Amino acid sequence: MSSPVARSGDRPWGPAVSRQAAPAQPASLADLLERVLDKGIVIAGDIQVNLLDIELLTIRIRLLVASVDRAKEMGIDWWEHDPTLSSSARRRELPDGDRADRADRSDEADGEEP
Amino acid sequence: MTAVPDTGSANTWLYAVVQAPSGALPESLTGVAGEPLRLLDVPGLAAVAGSVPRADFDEEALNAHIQDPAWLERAVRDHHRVVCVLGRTHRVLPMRFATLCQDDARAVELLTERHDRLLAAVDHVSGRTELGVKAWSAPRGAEASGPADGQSPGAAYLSRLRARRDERDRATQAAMEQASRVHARLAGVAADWVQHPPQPGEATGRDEPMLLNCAYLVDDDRLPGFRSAVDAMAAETAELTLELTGPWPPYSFAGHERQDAGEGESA
Repeated sequence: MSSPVARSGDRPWGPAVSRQAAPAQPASLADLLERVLDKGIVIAGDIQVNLLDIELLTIRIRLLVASVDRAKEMGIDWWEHDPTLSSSARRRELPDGDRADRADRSDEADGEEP
Repeated sequence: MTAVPDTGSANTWLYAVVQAPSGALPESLTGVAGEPLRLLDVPGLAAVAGSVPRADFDEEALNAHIQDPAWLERAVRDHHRVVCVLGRTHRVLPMRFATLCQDDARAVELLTERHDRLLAAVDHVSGRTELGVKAWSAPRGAEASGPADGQSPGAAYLSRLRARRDERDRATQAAMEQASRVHARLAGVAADWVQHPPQPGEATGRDEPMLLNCAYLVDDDRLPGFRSAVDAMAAETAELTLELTGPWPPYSFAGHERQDAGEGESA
């Protein structure tokens, strides 16, 4: 069989597109980071940010996103319970200790069907 | 939520440069700190900016925040969302993430210094769209082979290893050649292209190495042709898996100063 073309990002932006304000499906984080962090207009602003560890961050975030049923729940704290992100996971208190059902929180994410 | 352009407690975060203001910004559009956005005048252009609290966005705080993957992901997606929304109504040049100035006046000063190049960049991307294409070696099934006649189990094992390695090398080589053909064809359709570093397997969840990771800037009227070319090559190149992403705001071409109009530049 010929190799199919996977399509991702689902048209988050573009002249021919008039969808809702938020992208229907988050772009792959790796694709996004390599653009948003590494490209774009560069001017030396007044605040210098050290983005050297971004590749590592990309990998860790990506692993998380892949492991927890996709980024539908962006903005929700599911990632914080993940032990691989120890530093940030420990920094914040869990609300009610209901970490077990974090994968079931899609009801909090508006709009999108799984 | 008051985000006054007050230089005392806030820094100015720049999201994008847009071609001379054409209409107001959507009121509901907010930035990385939930702040409302505004337009700053730069001759012939405008910058889209927000005031973010120094407490979270001075150098020290920001460098700490970006070590937190969730903070970073949210902020990156917020920045991206702003750029995407702007792109619906304006010709937009995205700023790199975390472009921060002390205040609006400083931002305008920095942008004005680069005015000519920004105009040229807006010109370069207008009427064009960024698409991403990635390629991997196609996944291959497990090879199984029994020992050849007359071989001892040990020799058979070694020859299997060797054959497997040779086969893998051959397949990778073939896939690389196909990837470079894919790129040549797409680059021929595109107005410009930029190579991104290959993403590691940990980031893609694929075992096969990434052989191509390019952004292409395509004239809007050639988009269908570009997509067809990708589809056609996906069908032709059995050794490759292709992935098309986008359309993207022209991140990869915003700071990219290729003079394809024959215009020289001293710096």
